[in-house]
Amino acid sequence: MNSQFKRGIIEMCVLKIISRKDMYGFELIENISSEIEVNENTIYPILRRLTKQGLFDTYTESMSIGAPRKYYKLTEHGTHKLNEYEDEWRSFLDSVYRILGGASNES
Amino acid sequence: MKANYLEDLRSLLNNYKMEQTEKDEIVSDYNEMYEGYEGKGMQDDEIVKKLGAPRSIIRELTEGFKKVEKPLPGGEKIIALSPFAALIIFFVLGFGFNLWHPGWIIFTIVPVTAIIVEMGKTRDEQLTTALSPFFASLLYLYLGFYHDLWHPGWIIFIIIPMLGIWNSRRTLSKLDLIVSLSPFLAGIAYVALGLQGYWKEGWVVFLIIPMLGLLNEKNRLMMLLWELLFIAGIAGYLYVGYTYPEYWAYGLFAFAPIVILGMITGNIEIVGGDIPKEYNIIIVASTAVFLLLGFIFNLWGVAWLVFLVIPVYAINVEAPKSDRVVATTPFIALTIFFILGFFFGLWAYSWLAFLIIPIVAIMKNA
Repeated sequence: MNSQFKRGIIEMCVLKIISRKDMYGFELIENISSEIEVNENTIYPILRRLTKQGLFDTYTESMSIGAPRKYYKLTEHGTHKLNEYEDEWRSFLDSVYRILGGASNES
Repeated sequence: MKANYLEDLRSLLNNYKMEQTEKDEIVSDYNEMYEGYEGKGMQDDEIVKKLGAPRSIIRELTEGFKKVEKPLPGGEKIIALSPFAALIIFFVLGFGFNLWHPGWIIFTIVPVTAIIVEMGKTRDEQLTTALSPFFASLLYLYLGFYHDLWHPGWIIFIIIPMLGIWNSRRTLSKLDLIVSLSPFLAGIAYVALGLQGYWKEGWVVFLIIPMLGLLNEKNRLMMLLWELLFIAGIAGYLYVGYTYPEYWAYGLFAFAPIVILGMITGNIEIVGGDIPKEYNIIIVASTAVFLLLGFIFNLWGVAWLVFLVIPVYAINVEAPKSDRVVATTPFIALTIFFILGFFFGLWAYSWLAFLIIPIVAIMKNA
Protein backbone atom coordinates (compact mmCIF):
# COMPACT_ATOMS: atom_id res chain seq x y z
CA MET A 1 0.00 0.00 0.00
CA ASN A 2 1.21 3.51 -0.80
CA SER A 3 2.83 4.82 2.43
CA GLN A 4 1.19 8.25 2.15
CA PHE A 5 -2.22 6.63 1.79
CA LYS A 6 -1.55 4.32 4.73
CA ARG A 7 -0.39 7.23 6.88
CA GLY A 8 -3.66 9.06 6.18
CA ILE A 9 -5.70 6.05 7.23
CA ILE A 10 -3.62 5.57 10.39
CA GLU A 11 -4.17 9.25 11.22
CA MET A 12 -7.93 8.69 11.09
CA CYS A 13 -7.61 5.55 13.25
CA VAL A 14 -5.56 7.47 15.82
CA LEU A 15 -8.28 10.13 16.03
CA LYS A 16 -10.97 7.48 16.36
CA ILE A 17 -9.23 5.48 19.09
CA ILE A 18 -8.50 8.58 21.16
CA SER A 19 -12.10 9.78 20.67
CA ARG A 20 -13.18 6.72 22.67
CA LYS A 21 -10.72 7.18 25.53
CA ASP A 22 -7.83 9.51 26.44
CA MET A 23 -4.58 7.63 25.93
CA TYR A 24 -0.83 8.02 26.26
CA GLY A 25 1.37 7.29 23.25
CA PHE A 26 2.57 3.82 24.13
CA GLU A 27 -0.94 2.71 25.06
CA LEU A 28 -2.20 3.95 21.71
CA ILE A 29 0.55 2.07 19.84
CA GLU A 30 -0.36 -1.16 21.61
CA ASN A 31 -4.01 -0.57 20.84
CA ILE A 32 -3.57 0.21 17.17
CA SER A 33 -0.86 -2.38 16.48
CA SER A 34 -3.19 -5.18 17.56
CA GLU A 35 -5.15 -4.44 14.37
CA ILE A 36 -2.75 -2.74 11.95
CA GLU A 37 0.98 -3.24 11.45
CA VAL A 38 2.43 0.10 12.56
CA ASN A 39 5.78 1.40 13.60
CA GLU A 40 6.34 3.49 16.75
CA ASN A 41 8.20 6.00 14.64
CA THR A 42 5.01 6.61 12.64
CA ILE A 43 2.59 7.11 15.53
CA TYR A 44 4.45 9.66 17.65
CA PRO A 45 5.01 12.13 14.78
CA ILE A 46 1.28 11.85 13.96
CA LEU A 47 0.40 12.62 17.59
CA ARG A 48 2.74 15.61 17.65
CA ARG A 49 1.44 16.95 14.36
CA LEU A 50 -2.23 16.57 15.24
CA THR A 51 -1.59 18.22 18.62
CA LYS A 52 0.09 21.12 16.84
CA GLN A 53 -2.96 21.39 14.55
CA GLY A 54 -5.19 21.64 17.62
CA LEU A 55 -6.90 18.28 17.16
CA PHE A 56 -5.58 17.01 20.51
CA ASP A 57 -5.06 18.55 23.92
CA THR A 58 -2.44 17.01 26.18
CA TYR A 59 -2.14 16.66 29.92
CA THR A 60 0.33 14.74 32.07
CA GLU A 61 -0.25 12.28 34.87
CA SER A 62 2.57 11.41 37.21
CA MET A 63 3.47 7.79 37.78
CA SER A 64 4.83 6.05 40.85
CA ILE A 65 7.76 4.74 38.75
CA GLY A 66 9.25 6.44 35.73
CA ALA A 67 8.52 9.65 33.88
CA PRO A 68 5.01 11.20 33.94
CA ARG A 69 2.77 10.07 31.11
CA LYS A 70 1.46 12.46 28.51
CA TYR A 71 -2.20 11.79 27.70
CA TYR A 72 -3.89 12.86 24.49
CA LYS A 73 -7.50 14.07 24.49
CA LEU A 74 -9.56 14.86 21.40
CA THR A 75 -10.56 18.54 21.15
CA GLU A 76 -13.80 19.85 19.69
CA HIS A 77 -11.90 20.71 16.53
CA GLY A 78 -10.56 17.14 16.54
CA THR A 79 -14.04 15.67 16.83
CA HIS A 80 -15.20 17.80 13.93
CA LYS A 81 -12.23 16.69 11.81
CA LEU A 82 -12.77 13.04 12.71
CA ASN A 83 -16.41 13.22 11.58
CA GLU A 84 -15.28 14.83 8.36
CA TYR A 85 -12.65 12.11 7.74
CA GLU A 86 -15.12 9.34 8.54
CA ASP A 87 -17.68 10.72 6.07
CA GLU A 88 -15.04 11.04 3.37
CA TRP A 89 -13.72 7.57 4.07
CA ARG A 90 -17.18 5.95 3.92
CA SER A 91 -18.07 7.69 0.72
CA PHE A 92 -14.70 6.67 -0.74
CA LEU A 93 -15.23 3.05 0.28
CA ASP A 94 -18.73 3.07 -1.22
CA SER A 95 -17.32 4.27 -4.52
CA VAL A 96 -14.59 1.61 -4.42
CA TYR A 97 -17.15 -1.11 -3.68
CA ARG A 98 -19.36 0.14 -6.50
CA ILE A 99 -16.41 -0.07 -8.90
CA LEU A 100 -15.41 -3.51 -7.66
CA GLY A 101 -19.03 -4.65 -7.77
CA GLY A 102 -19.03 -5.83 -4.15
CA ALA A 103 -21.32 -4.99 -1.26
CA SER A 104 -21.20 -1.50 0.25
CA ASN A 105 -19.84 -1.13 3.77
CA GLU A 106 -23.05 0.63 4.72
CA SER A 107 -25.09 -2.45 4.04
CA MET B 1 21.58 2.33 28.20
CA LYS B 2 18.32 4.28 28.03
CA ALA B 3 20.16 7.43 29.08
CA ASN B 4 22.74 6.88 26.29
CA TYR B 5 20.00 6.27 23.75
CA LEU B 6 18.17 9.47 24.67
CA GLU B 7 21.40 11.46 24.84
CA ASP B 8 22.41 10.29 21.34
CA LEU B 9 18.96 11.19 20.07
CA ARG B 10 19.11 14.64 21.63
CA SER B 11 22.57 15.37 20.27
CA LEU B 12 21.44 14.38 16.76
CA LEU B 13 18.32 16.54 17.08
CA ASN B 14 20.55 19.46 18.01
CA ASN B 15 21.95 19.34 14.47
CA TYR B 16 18.56 20.54 13.17
CA LYS B 17 16.84 23.92 13.23
CA MET B 18 13.95 22.87 15.43
CA GLU B 19 12.17 24.47 18.37
CA GLN B 20 13.57 23.35 21.72
CA THR B 21 10.08 22.31 22.88
CA GLU B 22 9.73 20.07 19.84
CA LYS B 23 13.07 18.40 20.56
CA ASP B 24 12.05 17.92 24.20
CA GLU B 25 8.78 16.35 23.09
CA ILE B 26 10.52 13.91 20.77
CA VAL B 27 12.98 12.88 23.48
CA SER B 28 10.13 12.54 25.97
CA ASP B 29 8.15 10.38 23.51
CA TYR B 30 11.12 8.07 23.08
CA ASN B 31 11.60 7.97 26.82
CA GLU B 32 7.98 6.87 27.14
CA MET B 33 8.36 4.21 24.45
CA TYR B 34 11.60 2.95 26.01
CA GLU B 35 9.97 2.67 29.41
CA GLY B 36 6.93 1.03 27.86
CA TYR B 37 9.04 -1.74 26.36
CA GLU B 38 11.10 -2.04 29.54
CA GLY B 39 7.83 -2.57 31.36
CA LYS B 40 7.07 -5.43 28.99
CA GLY B 41 10.31 -7.11 30.04
CA MET B 42 12.34 -6.33 26.92
CA GLN B 43 16.13 -6.02 27.15
CA ASP B 44 17.98 -2.85 26.12
CA ASP B 45 19.30 -4.25 22.83
CA GLU B 46 15.83 -5.54 21.92
CA ILE B 47 14.33 -2.14 22.63
CA VAL B 48 16.94 -0.32 20.54
CA LYS B 49 16.28 -2.76 17.69
CA LYS B 50 12.53 -2.16 18.02
CA LEU B 51 12.76 1.63 18.16
CA GLY B 52 15.64 1.93 15.70
CA ALA B 53 19.06 3.38 16.51
CA PRO B 54 18.96 7.20 16.77
CA ARG B 55 21.08 7.57 13.62
CA SER B 56 18.70 5.45 11.59
CA ILE B 57 15.52 7.27 12.68
CA ILE B 58 16.80 10.83 12.74
CA ARG B 59 15.86 11.55 9.09
CA GLU B 60 12.29 10.43 9.67
CA LEU B 61 12.04 12.50 12.84
CA THR B 62 13.43 15.64 11.29
CA GLU B 63 11.59 15.49 7.97
CA GLY B 64 11.02 19.04 6.78
CA PHE B 65 13.60 20.59 9.13
CA LYS B 66 16.83 22.13 7.90
CA LYS B 67 20.20 21.23 9.36
CA VAL B 68 22.06 23.78 11.49
CA GLU B 69 24.81 25.26 9.37
CA LYS B 70 28.33 25.36 10.77
CA PRO B 71 30.24 27.37 8.16
CA LEU B 72 33.90 26.55 7.65
CA PRO B 73 36.05 29.58 8.47
CA GLY B 74 36.81 31.52 5.28
CA GLY B 75 34.79 29.04 3.22
CA GLU B 76 33.13 31.66 1.00
CA LYS B 77 36.50 33.29 0.23
CA ILE B 78 37.97 29.94 -0.71
CA ILE B 79 35.10 29.34 -3.16
CA ALA B 80 35.52 32.81 -4.67
CA LEU B 81 39.26 32.38 -5.09
CA SER B 82 39.21 28.84 -6.47
CA PRO B 83 38.57 29.81 -10.16
CA PHE B 84 41.52 32.20 -10.12
CA ALA B 85 43.75 29.66 -8.42
CA ALA B 86 42.69 27.06 -11.00
CA LEU B 87 43.37 29.46 -13.88
CA ILE B 88 46.82 30.37 -12.58
CA ILE B 89 47.77 26.72 -12.04
CA PHE B 90 46.38 25.88 -15.50
CA PHE B 91 48.53 28.56 -17.18
CA VAL B 92 51.60 27.54 -15.22
CA LEU B 93 51.09 23.91 -16.26
CA GLY B 94 50.35 24.92 -19.86
CA PHE B 95 52.94 27.61 -20.57
CA GLY B 96 55.55 26.26 -18.19
CA PHE B 97 55.36 22.53 -18.81
CA ASN B 98 53.22 22.28 -21.94
CA LEU B 99 50.70 20.30 -19.89
CA TRP B 100 47.58 21.91 -21.35
CA HIS B 101 46.27 18.42 -21.39
CA PRO B 102 45.65 17.00 -18.83
CA GLY B 103 46.28 20.32 -17.02
CA TRP B 104 42.68 21.37 -17.72
CA ILE B 105 41.63 18.87 -15.06
CA ILE B 106 42.65 21.47 -12.48
CA PHE B 107 39.37 23.29 -13.19
CA THR B 108 37.52 20.55 -11.36
CA ILE B 109 38.82 22.09 -8.12
CA VAL B 110 36.24 24.89 -8.63
CA PRO B 111 33.11 22.76 -8.24
CA VAL B 112 34.88 20.39 -5.83
CA THR B 113 35.78 23.30 -3.51
CA ALA B 114 32.24 24.68 -3.68
CA ILE B 115 30.73 21.29 -2.89
CA ILE B 116 33.07 20.68 0.05
CA VAL B 117 32.45 24.13 1.54
CA GLU B 118 28.68 24.15 1.01
CA MET B 119 27.94 20.59 2.01
CA GLY B 120 30.53 20.73 4.80
CA LYS B 121 28.36 23.37 6.51
CA THR B 122 25.76 20.78 7.40
CA ARG B 123 28.14 17.79 7.53
CA ASP B 124 26.00 16.37 4.76
CA GLU B 125 26.20 12.58 4.62
CA GLN B 126 26.02 12.72 0.83
CA LEU B 127 29.21 14.80 0.52
CA THR B 128 31.22 11.91 -0.87
CA THR B 129 28.38 11.09 -3.29
CA ALA B 130 28.43 14.64 -4.62
CA LEU B 131 32.20 14.50 -5.07
CA SER B 132 32.24 11.03 -6.61
CA PRO B 133 31.38 12.08 -10.23
CA PHE B 134 34.53 14.22 -10.29
CA PHE B 135 36.80 11.57 -8.89
CA ALA B 136 35.21 8.83 -11.00
CA SER B 137 35.69 10.98 -14.13
CA LEU B 138 39.32 11.72 -13.25
CA LEU B 139 40.06 8.07 -12.65
CA TYR B 140 38.22 7.10 -15.82
CA LEU B 141 40.15 9.59 -17.93
CA TYR B 142 43.41 8.47 -16.33
CA LEU B 143 42.64 4.81 -17.07
CA GLY B 144 41.59 5.73 -20.61
CA PHE B 145 44.36 8.11 -21.63
CA TYR B 146 47.30 6.44 -19.93
CA HIS B 147 46.34 2.78 -19.99
CA ASP B 148 43.81 2.70 -22.83
CA LEU B 149 41.33 1.08 -20.47
CA TRP B 150 38.25 2.99 -21.68
CA HIS B 151 36.60 -0.39 -21.53
CA PRO B 152 36.09 -1.74 -18.88
CA GLY B 153 37.28 1.45 -17.13
CA TRP B 154 33.76 2.91 -17.47
CA ILE B 155 32.68 0.59 -14.70
CA ILE B 156 34.25 3.07 -12.26
CA PHE B 157 31.09 5.22 -12.67
CA ILE B 158 29.19 2.57 -10.76
CA ILE B 159 30.80 4.08 -7.68
CA ILE B 160 28.41 7.08 -7.93
CA PRO B 161 25.08 5.32 -7.27
CA MET B 162 26.81 2.85 -4.96
CA LEU B 163 28.10 5.67 -2.76
CA GLY B 164 24.66 7.28 -2.84
CA ILE B 165 23.12 4.08 -1.48
CA TRP B 166 25.98 3.48 0.97
CA ASN B 167 25.64 6.97 2.40
CA SER B 168 21.93 6.34 2.97
CA ARG B 169 22.68 3.07 4.77
CA ARG B 170 21.50 4.36 8.14
CA THR B 171 17.96 4.69 6.87
CA LEU B 172 17.96 1.23 5.25
CA SER B 173 17.69 -2.20 6.80
CA LYS B 174 20.72 -4.44 6.26
CA LEU B 175 18.86 -6.57 3.74
CA ASP B 176 17.57 -3.55 1.82
CA LEU B 177 21.10 -2.14 1.72
CA ILE B 178 22.46 -5.38 0.25
CA VAL B 179 19.58 -5.59 -2.25
CA SER B 180 20.15 -1.96 -3.31
CA LEU B 181 23.84 -2.51 -3.83
CA SER B 182 23.43 -5.89 -5.54
CA PRO B 183 22.76 -4.58 -9.10
CA PHE B 184 26.08 -2.75 -9.05
CA LEU B 185 27.99 -5.63 -7.54
CA ALA B 186 26.37 -7.96 -10.07
CA GLY B 187 27.39 -5.53 -12.85
CA ILE B 188 31.01 -5.63 -11.68
CA ALA B 189 30.91 -9.42 -11.38
CA TYR B 190 29.43 -9.64 -14.89
CA VAL B 191 32.18 -7.55 -16.45
CA ALA B 192 34.82 -9.52 -14.51
CA LEU B 193 33.31 -12.78 -15.78
CA GLY B 194 33.01 -11.32 -19.28
CA LEU B 195 36.67 -10.40 -19.38
CA GLN B 196 37.42 -14.02 -18.55
CA GLY B 197 35.39 -14.99 -21.62
CA TYR B 198 32.03 -15.69 -19.94
CA TRP B 199 29.97 -12.90 -21.55
CA LYS B 200 27.34 -15.32 -22.80
CA GLU B 201 26.43 -17.09 -19.58
CA GLY B 202 27.80 -14.52 -17.09
CA TRP B 203 24.50 -12.58 -17.05
CA VAL B 204 23.09 -15.11 -14.59
CA VAL B 205 24.93 -13.22 -11.83
CA PHE B 206 22.22 -10.57 -12.16
CA LEU B 207 19.75 -13.11 -10.82
CA ILE B 208 21.30 -12.49 -7.41
CA ILE B 209 19.23 -9.24 -7.36
CA PRO B 210 15.76 -10.86 -7.30
CA MET B 211 17.13 -13.74 -5.21
CA LEU B 212 18.23 -11.32 -2.50
CA GLY B 213 15.07 -9.24 -2.85
CA LEU B 214 12.96 -12.35 -2.31
CA LEU B 215 14.47 -12.78 1.15
CA ASN B 216 11.98 -10.04 2.11
CA GLU B 217 9.09 -12.37 1.27
CA LYS B 218 7.11 -12.87 4.46
CA ASN B 219 5.73 -16.27 3.47
CA ARG B 220 8.73 -18.50 4.23
CA LEU B 221 7.43 -21.40 2.15
CA MET B 222 6.91 -19.14 -0.85
CA MET B 223 10.37 -17.66 -0.39
CA LEU B 224 11.90 -21.14 -0.36
CA LEU B 225 9.98 -22.08 -3.50
CA TRP B 226 11.17 -18.96 -5.33
CA GLU B 227 14.79 -19.47 -4.33
CA LEU B 228 14.70 -23.13 -5.34
CA LEU B 229 13.22 -22.25 -8.72
CA PHE B 230 15.99 -19.70 -9.28
CA ILE B 231 18.72 -22.16 -8.32
CA ALA B 232 17.14 -24.87 -10.48
CA GLY B 233 16.75 -22.37 -13.35
CA ILE B 234 20.42 -21.35 -13.22
CA ALA B 235 21.59 -24.94 -12.92
CA GLY B 236 19.33 -26.03 -15.80
CA TYR B 237 20.40 -23.13 -18.00
CA LEU B 238 24.11 -23.76 -17.45
CA TYR B 239 23.68 -27.51 -17.87
CA VAL B 240 21.95 -27.13 -21.23
CA GLY B 241 24.46 -24.51 -22.39
CA TYR B 242 27.55 -26.45 -21.49
CA THR B 243 26.22 -29.81 -22.65
CA TYR B 244 24.92 -28.47 -25.98
CA PRO B 245 26.99 -25.32 -26.63
CA GLU B 246 25.12 -24.53 -29.84
CA TYR B 247 21.76 -24.44 -28.02
CA TRP B 248 22.37 -21.93 -25.21
CA ALA B 249 19.08 -20.21 -25.98
CA TYR B 250 17.14 -23.39 -25.22
CA GLY B 251 18.61 -23.30 -21.73
CA LEU B 252 16.37 -20.27 -21.06
CA PHE B 253 13.42 -22.64 -20.81
CA ALA B 254 14.84 -23.67 -17.44
CA PHE B 255 13.58 -20.31 -16.16
CA ALA B 256 10.03 -20.91 -17.40
CA PRO B 257 8.74 -22.07 -13.97
CA ILE B 258 9.89 -18.72 -12.47
CA VAL B 259 8.02 -16.74 -15.12
CA ILE B 260 4.90 -18.87 -14.66
CA LEU B 261 4.98 -18.53 -10.86
CA GLY B 262 5.65 -14.81 -11.22
CA MET B 263 2.65 -14.34 -13.46
CA ILE B 264 0.41 -16.39 -11.17
CA THR B 265 1.43 -14.43 -8.08
CA GLY B 266 1.38 -11.09 -9.96
CA ASN B 267 5.03 -10.39 -9.12
CA ILE B 268 6.16 -9.94 -12.71
CA GLU B 269 5.60 -6.49 -14.23
CA ILE B 270 7.33 -4.89 -17.18
CA VAL B 271 7.91 -1.53 -15.49
CA GLY B 272 7.70 -1.36 -11.72
CA GLY B 273 8.43 0.94 -8.80
CA ASP B 274 7.70 4.64 -8.51
CA ILE B 275 10.01 5.60 -11.38
CA PRO B 276 8.06 7.12 -14.29
CA LYS B 277 7.99 4.88 -17.36
CA GLU B 278 9.87 7.42 -19.53
CA TYR B 279 12.88 7.27 -17.20
CA ASN B 280 12.98 3.49 -17.49
CA ILE B 281 12.86 3.78 -21.26
CA ILE B 282 15.61 6.42 -21.36
CA ILE B 283 17.86 4.46 -19.00
CA VAL B 284 17.42 1.23 -20.96
CA ALA B 285 17.82 3.02 -24.33
CA SER B 286 20.94 4.95 -23.29
CA THR B 287 22.51 1.79 -21.86
CA ALA B 288 21.73 -0.02 -25.12
CA VAL B 289 23.25 2.79 -27.22
CA PHE B 290 26.29 2.89 -24.93
CA LEU B 291 26.90 -0.85 -25.23
CA LEU B 292 26.24 -0.73 -28.99
CA LEU B 293 28.73 2.10 -29.54
CA GLY B 294 31.20 0.30 -27.34
CA PHE B 295 31.00 -3.23 -28.65
CA ILE B 296 30.39 -2.45 -32.35
CA PHE B 297 32.47 0.71 -32.87
CA ASN B 298 34.81 0.29 -29.89
CA LEU B 299 33.93 3.84 -28.80
CA TRP B 300 34.05 3.11 -25.08
CA GLY B 301 36.02 6.28 -24.48
CA VAL B 302 33.28 8.59 -25.69
CA ALA B 303 30.14 6.46 -25.58
CA TRP B 304 29.51 7.27 -21.91
CA LEU B 305 28.34 10.72 -23.07
CA VAL B 306 25.00 9.13 -24.02
CA PHE B 307 24.27 8.78 -20.31
CA LEU B 308 24.13 12.57 -20.08
CA VAL B 309 20.76 12.27 -21.81
CA ILE B 310 19.32 11.03 -18.50
CA PRO B 311 20.06 14.14 -16.36
CA VAL B 312 19.33 16.43 -19.33
CA TYR B 313 15.90 14.82 -19.75
CA ALA B 314 15.30 15.02 -15.99
CA ILE B 315 16.20 18.73 -15.95
CA ASN B 316 13.84 19.44 -18.84
CA VAL B 317 11.00 17.64 -17.15
CA GLU B 318 11.56 18.41 -13.48
CA ALA B 319 13.34 21.79 -13.28
CA PRO B 320 11.43 25.09 -13.43
CA LYS B 321 11.22 26.37 -17.01
CA SER B 322 13.33 29.42 -16.22
CA ASP B 323 16.27 27.28 -15.00
CA ARG B 324 16.29 24.69 -17.76
CA VAL B 325 18.64 26.38 -20.21
CA VAL B 326 21.26 27.28 -17.61
CA ALA B 327 21.03 23.85 -16.01
CA THR B 328 21.52 22.13 -19.35
CA THR B 329 24.60 24.11 -20.43
CA PRO B 330 27.12 22.18 -18.27
CA PHE B 331 26.14 19.00 -20.09
CA ILE B 332 26.37 20.67 -23.49
CA ALA B 333 29.75 22.14 -22.53
CA LEU B 334 31.01 18.78 -21.33
CA THR B 335 29.89 17.10 -24.56
CA ILE B 336 31.53 19.73 -26.79
CA PHE B 337 34.68 19.67 -24.67
CA PHE B 338 34.98 15.91 -24.72
CA ILE B 339 34.14 15.40 -28.41
CA LEU B 340 36.61 18.08 -29.54
CA GLY B 341 39.27 16.59 -27.32
CA PHE B 342 38.63 12.94 -28.01
CA PHE B 343 38.20 13.04 -31.78
CA PHE B 344 40.39 16.01 -32.70
CA GLY B 345 42.92 16.06 -29.87
CA LEU B 346 41.98 19.66 -29.06
CA TRP B 347 42.22 19.25 -25.30
CA ALA B 348 44.27 22.44 -25.03
CA TYR B 349 41.40 24.54 -26.41
CA SER B 350 38.27 22.54 -25.95
CA TRP B 351 38.03 23.45 -22.26
CA LEU B 352 36.91 26.87 -23.55
CA ALA B 353 33.56 25.19 -24.10
CA PHE B 354 32.99 25.51 -20.37
CA LEU B 355 32.86 29.27 -20.78
CA ILE B 356 29.39 28.88 -22.25
CA ILE B 357 28.17 28.08 -18.73
CA PRO B 358 28.82 31.50 -17.15
CA ILE B 359 28.03 33.26 -20.47
CA VAL B 360 24.57 31.65 -20.67
CA ALA B 361 23.96 32.28 -16.96
CA ILE B 362 24.92 35.97 -17.29
CA MET B 363 22.80 36.42 -20.44
CA LYS B 364 19.87 34.74 -18.74
CA ASN B 365 20.08 36.97 -15.66
CA ALA B 366 20.93 40.19 -17.51
